Amino acid sequence: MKKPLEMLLAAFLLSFGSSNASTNEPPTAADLIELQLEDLVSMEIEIETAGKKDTKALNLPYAAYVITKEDIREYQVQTIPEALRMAPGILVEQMGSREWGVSIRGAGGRFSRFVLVLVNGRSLNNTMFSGVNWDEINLSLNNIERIEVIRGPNAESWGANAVNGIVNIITSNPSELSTSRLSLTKSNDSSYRAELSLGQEIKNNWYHSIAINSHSVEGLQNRDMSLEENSTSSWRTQYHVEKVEKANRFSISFDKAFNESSNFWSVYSLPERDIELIDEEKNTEVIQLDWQHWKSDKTQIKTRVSAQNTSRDSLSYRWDSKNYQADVDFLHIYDQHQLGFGINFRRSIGVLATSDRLPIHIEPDRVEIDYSGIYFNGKFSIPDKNLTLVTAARLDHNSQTGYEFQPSMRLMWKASGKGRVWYALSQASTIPSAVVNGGSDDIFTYLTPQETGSPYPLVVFREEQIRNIDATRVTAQELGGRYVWEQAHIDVALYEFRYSNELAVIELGEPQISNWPPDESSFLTQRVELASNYNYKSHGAEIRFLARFNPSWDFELAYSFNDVDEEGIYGAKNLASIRSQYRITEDFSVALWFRHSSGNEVLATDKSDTYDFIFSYQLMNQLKIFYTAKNIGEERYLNGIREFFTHEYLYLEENHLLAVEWVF
Amino acid sequence: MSSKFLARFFVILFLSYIPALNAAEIQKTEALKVAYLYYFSKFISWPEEVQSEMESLNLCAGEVNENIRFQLGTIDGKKVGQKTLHVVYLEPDDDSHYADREDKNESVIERCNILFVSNNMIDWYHERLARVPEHALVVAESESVARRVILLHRSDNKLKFEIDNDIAIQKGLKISSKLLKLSQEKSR
Repeated sequence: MKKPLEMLLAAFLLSFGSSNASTNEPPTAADLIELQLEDLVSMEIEIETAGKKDTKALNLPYAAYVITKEDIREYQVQTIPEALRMAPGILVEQMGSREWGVSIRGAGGRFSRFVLVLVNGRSLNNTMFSGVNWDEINLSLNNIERIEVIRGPNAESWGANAVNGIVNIITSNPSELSTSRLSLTKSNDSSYRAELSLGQEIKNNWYHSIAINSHSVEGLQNRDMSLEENSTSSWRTQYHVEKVEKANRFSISFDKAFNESSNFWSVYSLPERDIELIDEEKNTEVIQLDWQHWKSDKTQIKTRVSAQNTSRDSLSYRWDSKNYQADVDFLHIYDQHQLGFGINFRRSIGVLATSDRLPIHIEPDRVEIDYSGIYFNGKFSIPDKNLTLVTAARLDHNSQTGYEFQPSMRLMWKASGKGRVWYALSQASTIPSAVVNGGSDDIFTYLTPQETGSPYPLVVFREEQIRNIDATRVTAQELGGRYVWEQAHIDVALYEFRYSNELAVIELGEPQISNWPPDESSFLTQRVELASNYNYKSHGAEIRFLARFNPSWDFELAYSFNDVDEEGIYGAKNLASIRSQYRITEDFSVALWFRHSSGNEVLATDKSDTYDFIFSYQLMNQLKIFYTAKNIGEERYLNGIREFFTHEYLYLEENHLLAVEWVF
Repeated sequence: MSSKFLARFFVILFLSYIPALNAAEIQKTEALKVAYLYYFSKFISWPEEVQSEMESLNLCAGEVNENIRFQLGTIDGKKVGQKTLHVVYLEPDDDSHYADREDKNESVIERCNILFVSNNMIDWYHERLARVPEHALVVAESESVARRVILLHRSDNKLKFEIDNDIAIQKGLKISSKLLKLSQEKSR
């Protein structure tokens, strides 16, 4: 199986090389209009997430990456986590058909809480474990304008949890939707996706759009295929109204979403442990208002208000959450300098009620957390030295851990018209989750008699939390550089992160036998407690090379290395993504996406080398068809493990997709 | 998958760079200029009454050099949304002046949706300003061109564009916020 594929891959790449050898003609206007307008302007993309001001990527003293809507479409990406695999330094671990863990620069796993995830600036990190349920971000892929990924701490503008990085998903504004789109995708198994997005002007600079998607996925199986998740479905409707004027932009959007998930959970009737498939239904409603006002050429005000309600219901638990968020940002350009100031408020309410069979509880079962924050940032240019200094500081208060101060300093040197070098020193913190602070009597770990080497299983119980849990902090140093040619650019970043106050498990006494004299119902118990007293370091490097070798060929390499100095929460040591798209004729193109992961070393997921082939053909002016072979190269592999609450792991497989896209 | 495979993969990849990098050439200004004209048609919308009467989107060009004429030929007939972009030339015969072809050009001018005013035809354009359709998007290379919505100019060795949104609004043209963001807007 692998040999022919290897040869095919070689032939594929060599044919690109030879075809380029004879291509010395400069691009024509017809070639250039195939590019994105942003590329045309300067082959640079503007990024909002870093510092909350759209800035050319070249001039950003951050390790930034943008996944465009064309990347999503041309590579036939089916989910947002899958799209994130394109960026360097991001580990995406899929542990179920609709369950992922996404981490940046290490600290991976399902409950990873060091990445701040935003949709149009609205935070999605929940109060229960401070991380994100990625299946709940079932946005229409057709309606995503771009996904901005900032690696490294960037808390000064966005608040807590931006410790290892930020993922900001930005959807299309109705005024920018020049076409409507219907796309249908069918997999060789029972999975399908249907999406419709429509946008038009109402009148007098008022625009509206609607995006609807429905998605069904087949469940994954365990190693010996004796267990399989149920197929699940989801849908989402987003209605968006926008008014664009010379100095104002106002928008309001409504989302209504439904999701099903089907996950395996460990359940206990001690001394026995069993596995149970729990089906969950989730309903989400979101409303968000945005107003941007340009007071003058030099002063801009942005405000955002949002409310989100999500209820998650299953036979074994109910988890409801509500989030209210309000942000005001001011930006002023003074001479060559730029000053920003903002205030943020967030109120999160979470309720978790579980059955006795599940190993997770919080006391009390309702948690309310209030967050407030104030930040300042300044970008000061010293043109005669070709230097730009970005300083920022943020003061946050939350009702769990009190005050947090998060400063940062970034210095960029314009080495030449096309080269930049930057250095950053910053601190950021996360907030402990409700489960960490309020969990009690949870079964933390269960080891079978075979694993303990004794006649009895060992059950590790978590005691009621008495010690105060402090916020985990990271102090990060980054050194980066980038160089832009006419048709290529390269980005390099080196970093060192020092984590303090990270969570650790403290054993309380020696293991005890549950009853004396022991009998068949006996088991060993070990009581533990959580403490925030663990410190460790990580370091790594990332490189991204992007080129448009000729008007028909786009190429990108993203590679990252990450390591920790002691036993810590590892990500994958090595990650790589290579994407190459070749337009053979005006209507027909072939793309290859190769991915390498050395696997999560602590969780022991599989090392994998997989690739996707995507063939696309423009059948008519408005109709395009795609055939995609996904996850080729590994027959079945373990891509992710939920680190708690399960002991059956699910495997990813190769699959094939046929899609049609109608633009009207 | 073996590490030998990966090593071979990267060698092949490296080899495939070499001819490709040699093939990379600087984009010609003319191609870029014409590509911009195409993008303007894509990110600007005309009033509904104009749009509904448009059979095609007419891009009119005056006296342009051979390179631009060639580049315009490469986008002629391309789709812009549901309309087809047609390039229409207003230039005179070799031995005549613009004025001699006035009758022939008159009806053509009135059908222009986009009018590219090159530096060679500024005087001609000003003489016939009254005949330029109210909703025409005028793209010029010189600041001296009256009622221009977009100015194409060189800056920092790059071709840039500046949008006069006030005139665009007066003409009933709606410029997408994306285009406005990427431009150096004259007034905000």
